[in-house]
Amino acid sequence: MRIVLDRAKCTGIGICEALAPTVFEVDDDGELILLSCEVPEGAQDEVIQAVEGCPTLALRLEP
Amino acid sequence: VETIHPLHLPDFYIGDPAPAYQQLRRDSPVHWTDANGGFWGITRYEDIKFIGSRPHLFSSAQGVLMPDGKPRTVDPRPILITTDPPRHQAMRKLISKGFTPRQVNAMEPDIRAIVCGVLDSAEAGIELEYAEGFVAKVPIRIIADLLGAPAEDWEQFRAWSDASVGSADPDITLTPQDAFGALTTYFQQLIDLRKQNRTNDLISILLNAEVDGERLSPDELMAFLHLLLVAGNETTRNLIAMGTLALINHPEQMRMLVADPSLIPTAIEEMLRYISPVTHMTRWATEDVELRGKTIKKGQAVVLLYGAANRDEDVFGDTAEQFDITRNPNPHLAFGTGEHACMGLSLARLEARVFFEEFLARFDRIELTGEVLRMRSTMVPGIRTMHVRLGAANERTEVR
Repeated sequence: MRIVLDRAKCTGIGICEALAPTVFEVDDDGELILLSCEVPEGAQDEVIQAVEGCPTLALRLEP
Repeated sequence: VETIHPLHLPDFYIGDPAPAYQQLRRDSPVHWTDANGGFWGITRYEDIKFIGSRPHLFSSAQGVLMPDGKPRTVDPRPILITTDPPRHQAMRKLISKGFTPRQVNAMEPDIRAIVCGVLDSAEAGIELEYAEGFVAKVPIRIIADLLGAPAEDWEQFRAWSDASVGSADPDITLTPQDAFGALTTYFQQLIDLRKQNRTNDLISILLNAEVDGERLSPDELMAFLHLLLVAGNETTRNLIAMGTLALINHPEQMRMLVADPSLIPTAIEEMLRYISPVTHMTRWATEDVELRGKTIKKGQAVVLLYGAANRDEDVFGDTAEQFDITRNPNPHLAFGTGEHACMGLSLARLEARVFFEEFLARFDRIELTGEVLRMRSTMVPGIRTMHVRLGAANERTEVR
């Protein structure tokens, strides 16, 4: 699964980072960085929670 | 037969709204109330997500508080919470630079010192007032510290803050307007200090912030500092105070948490879901919208009842009404949803986590010794006073 970020929607408060810190990181400038574009082995549940938990619908998963 | 639910009154929220929420989700999920000029109460999780993610259809510009029946006008003040797109997104990106997980995590040592300072004043075995006299000191000191206010100003800062939202001790004669003015003057002094000597604190970050050539205007910065007091103070206080009350009312959950403090993070998410410290936010339809067979007309208010969504059986299953500190996943909407979702959520979670870590390290029993007095508010109907007795951890006998 591939993680897709819509930067226009992201407001950078990092709910995703709190849920899946191995994949999402908000840098000092408030920009979200994807540490991995693919869902890493074993991190599937937390990435799905992060995607579903994004309040601005800025994240989605693609096959 | 339609039951009347007084969604416009504090008493509804101070009592137990859960049975009414359950009935509304089932029978009338888009529910019209005539009071206060009329508004729609929204109780299903899915519907609140739908509305929250469509700020063009459901505006915040006419205010987010419960409608009061007065004619609505667009608030001219540049406050983040009542600003619509496109300016909202720009403001939000600028301000969120001060609330990234990394910025918030860096505050943990300061937060722990503040929490310990407050907790060290509590004594086991004697009755103490837990809400106003105790928990309330934590979030306001953290905000003051976040703004760079020195510790000797914290009590004054709290007095202004309480008076400005009209929740001050009746002995304090300062009017809300005077308190608001005093805070504005104080904030301006802090801003001027940071202009001369920028550090890495919140005000410096906001002064430096620039996104796509946009910056915060001086009025936007000032409005945000006032908003921070409203948004970050009583909300967090009530999360901690009402979270504690939930533990008192569910002794088996309290025992589980005492035995395994690694459950604190999921316990806090469950407190957020179960209590929903902020009961609602309001939006205003910008055009006619069909929802579950009802027509929300252009200009009508919709009240998003987060506490009802957080008990939605479709999301939280058969155990939706139970307080379960191990619940995971827990996709509650206590922080709202959409581009106005709470910006301080990482900070609120950190404050609550540090508080309960330090609290449980000192005390493993807590009991009510009197009545719980609630705040008469529709939006944040928290605890005004709550008298308790604490039992010291590592002490097997009752302290007298």
